[in-house]
Amino acid sequence: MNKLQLIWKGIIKENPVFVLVLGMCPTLGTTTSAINGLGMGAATMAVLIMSNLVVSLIKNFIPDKVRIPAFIVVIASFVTMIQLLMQAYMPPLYEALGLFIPLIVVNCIILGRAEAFASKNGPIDSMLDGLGIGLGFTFALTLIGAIREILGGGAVFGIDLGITNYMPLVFVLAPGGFIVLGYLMALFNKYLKK
Amino acid sequence: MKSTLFNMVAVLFTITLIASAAVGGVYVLTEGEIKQQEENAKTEALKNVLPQFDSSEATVVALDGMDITVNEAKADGTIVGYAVETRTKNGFGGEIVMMVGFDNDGNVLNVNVLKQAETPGLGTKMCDEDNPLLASAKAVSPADAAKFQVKKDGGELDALTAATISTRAYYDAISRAYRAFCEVSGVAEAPEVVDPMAEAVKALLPEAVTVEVVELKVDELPVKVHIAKNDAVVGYVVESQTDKGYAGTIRLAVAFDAEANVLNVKVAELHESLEEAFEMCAEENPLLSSVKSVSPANTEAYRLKSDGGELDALSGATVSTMAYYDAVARAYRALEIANEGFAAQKGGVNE
Amino acid sequence: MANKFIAAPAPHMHNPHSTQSLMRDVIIALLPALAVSAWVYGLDVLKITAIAITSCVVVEFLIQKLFIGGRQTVSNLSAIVTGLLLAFNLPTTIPWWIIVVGAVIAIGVGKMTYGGLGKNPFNPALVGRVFLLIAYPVQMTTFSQPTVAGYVDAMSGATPLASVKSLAGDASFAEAIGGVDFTNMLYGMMPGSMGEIAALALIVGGLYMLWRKVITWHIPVSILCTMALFAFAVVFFGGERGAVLYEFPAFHILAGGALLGAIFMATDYVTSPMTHKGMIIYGIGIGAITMIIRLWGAYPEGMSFAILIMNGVTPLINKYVKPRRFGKTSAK
Repeated sequence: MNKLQLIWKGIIKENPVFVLVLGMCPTLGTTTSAINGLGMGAATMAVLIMSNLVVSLIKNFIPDKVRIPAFIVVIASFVTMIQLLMQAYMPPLYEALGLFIPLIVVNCIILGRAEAFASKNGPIDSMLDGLGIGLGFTFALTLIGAIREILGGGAVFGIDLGITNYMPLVFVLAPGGFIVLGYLMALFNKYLKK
Repeated sequence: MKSTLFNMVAVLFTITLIASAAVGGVYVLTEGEIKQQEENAKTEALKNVLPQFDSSEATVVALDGMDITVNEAKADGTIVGYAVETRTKNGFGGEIVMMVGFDNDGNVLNVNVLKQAETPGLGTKMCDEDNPLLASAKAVSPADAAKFQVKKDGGELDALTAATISTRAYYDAISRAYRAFCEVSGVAEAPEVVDPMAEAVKALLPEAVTVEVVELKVDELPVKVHIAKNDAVVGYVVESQTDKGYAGTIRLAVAFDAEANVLNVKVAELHESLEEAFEMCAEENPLLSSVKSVSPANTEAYRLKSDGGELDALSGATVSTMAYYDAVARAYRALEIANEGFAAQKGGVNE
Repeated sequence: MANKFIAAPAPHMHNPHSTQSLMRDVIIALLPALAVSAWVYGLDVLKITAIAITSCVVVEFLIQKLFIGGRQTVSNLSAIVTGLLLAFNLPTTIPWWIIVVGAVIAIGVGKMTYGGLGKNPFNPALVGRVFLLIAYPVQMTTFSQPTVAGYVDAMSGATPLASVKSLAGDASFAEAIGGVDFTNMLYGMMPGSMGEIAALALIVGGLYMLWRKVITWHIPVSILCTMALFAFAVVFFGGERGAVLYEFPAFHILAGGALLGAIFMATDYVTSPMTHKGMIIYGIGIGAITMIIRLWGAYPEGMSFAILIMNGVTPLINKYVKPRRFGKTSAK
């Protein structure tokens, strides 16, 4: 498979949120604004690329029966590192994402890619797969976050559009997350998944 | 790879060893920075509510079963203000934690809500830069407990639309912060909770040698009659109340002269929800002049003008008006009961 | 194409009702409450109703034309009913553009997204109302006072339910409802949403629908009985703020959207169970959830949430409470 196709596939055809419908918990929980969506997506992407790389490198040394615990240890280590780095260098984002950062460990996208792709492919392809899926996740979260921020708060990426008082607040709350996700999923599947 | 006990243990051991080493490395790398950030966050929270300072010292005070932290901030060795991390459990969504800045005299400089779970769009307005709660808290000193209450409860503070509970919780936390401030700074005495009724009675009661107090019930509501005497009776003050207010009980103190004419009325407790009703608290208002001129004994005249009587009403607050007249009439009846044969002495008015 | 040949298996029953005639009866049944509301609150009520109905009809027309295609369904009058019910759930102080947003959500999200009338799992008007309630909490809970002659000293901004809820500490029940007595509640002289206040007119509308066989008694009666029993039990066992035993159930049935919800919203054909037994289960669920939200929830009124929740349970009820098949004897 062409390298570019490998990345593209993760963004559109196998978009983890809109097509595979994986990682719904952070998707609904963190997308109250575009920045939060972007931050969560980027953090997940970083973990995904690194864990895919490491898993594909060590895949030949791991006995089958302890495959899953080995992968989880790798993933959890990267998540902890990302968490520490965010806490040190990006405290506002760390505050905003809160509990959802440690929960990246149990994001099924990451273990799913390790199991389904990285444990069967070489390191370069695995990293590209991680990049593609990570971009797809980031794209989805940022899009949902931006739409919710505009509809619910009248701003986008923190820039006030001056229409705050007219916007239905419900979009930054949980029900709004479900509504936006549902409609985006429908549109995505109708127009893009060809 | 085929699994044997040895290779499973060996591989997992190696992986965990490397992973923990890596995590440990990153921890060491970021430790200093994270500490620095936490320190910054704390000073930032203080800076938000205080003038320029260079050092601060924290004292923890236990009030109402909650730990309140008072930070005494100094610049060049002199105290420039106090930042109090206060809390309340009365929020609509549970606990609210706020940082309240006081100057040395106990005036509120600024408030920063640190933690809350109020209803989005209603109670959360308390976090906004300029919200009516903050403006009120700055304008009214928490030292005056009677004024430092929501207008609805008889004070002078504004409320958030449709978020009464959040509003009360906000001010509750500030009052608590003020008490903690008093305790630590020693600048002022913590405010006593004043009883507005006692204040009203004190203001109305004429100078006298003895004051006799009679407690009785009129129509099942407790009423207190204070009789001021030298040799003869100088005057009366009656603590009366009514349950006919629009939003519950209204309590007022009514002053009578020795002939049982109404001299003055002071409203001690009022919960009415309409601004219009609060006019009855004013020094001069149509209700007060009505009860001064029409005796409750005169049942023909002691009715609203719309009912063919002679009493004026507050426009737009008829229920509250009726409650006021009800309370005054009750005071008068208490006087009659307390002072048997009073009507006979007066002769004729009360047929 | 498939829709052209509807061939359900025999036996076929004949029934004089069509969607259009049913909807027409619902509209007629809603008129008394609308009239009372206009009498109590003034002509703004008619303006709001007109805006709500027009936007619902226009939104349905446009969505059908632009996205779905096929035959226009506007003529079955259901959009008008949705518009009317949506308007009934709004306070009279609502700005016009919020009504339009409500109509877009009610018809667009609540109904047409699922494919139009008959396919929507949730009552569209309630989807619109709940959305607006969470989206614009201030505007949706700013109630004006009745302007009708003879009614004085209303509270602005607090319905009787909201006053009971926002009471601090130990104030008594009687203090909480203040000047609103039961007679006033029957005639609609209390602050509230436009259509929910006139208890008597809503009951008249309900009786009309019963007479026209548009609804059966099962849903409204089971909802209201559950609420009354629940309130009774709370007072009986808990002594809710010193409320008199008979007062509390009566208050809860007359206050808020209980009657509007029980008679007009919960009985929506599409979103309520099909069998009588199912309807009773559904009604008990709505009544109980409403009382739980009213007494212990964050919102003062829970009727609309309760109906939506039970709408969601309806498919499950339909699956487990099936009518007995013809010719089948009870399994022993």
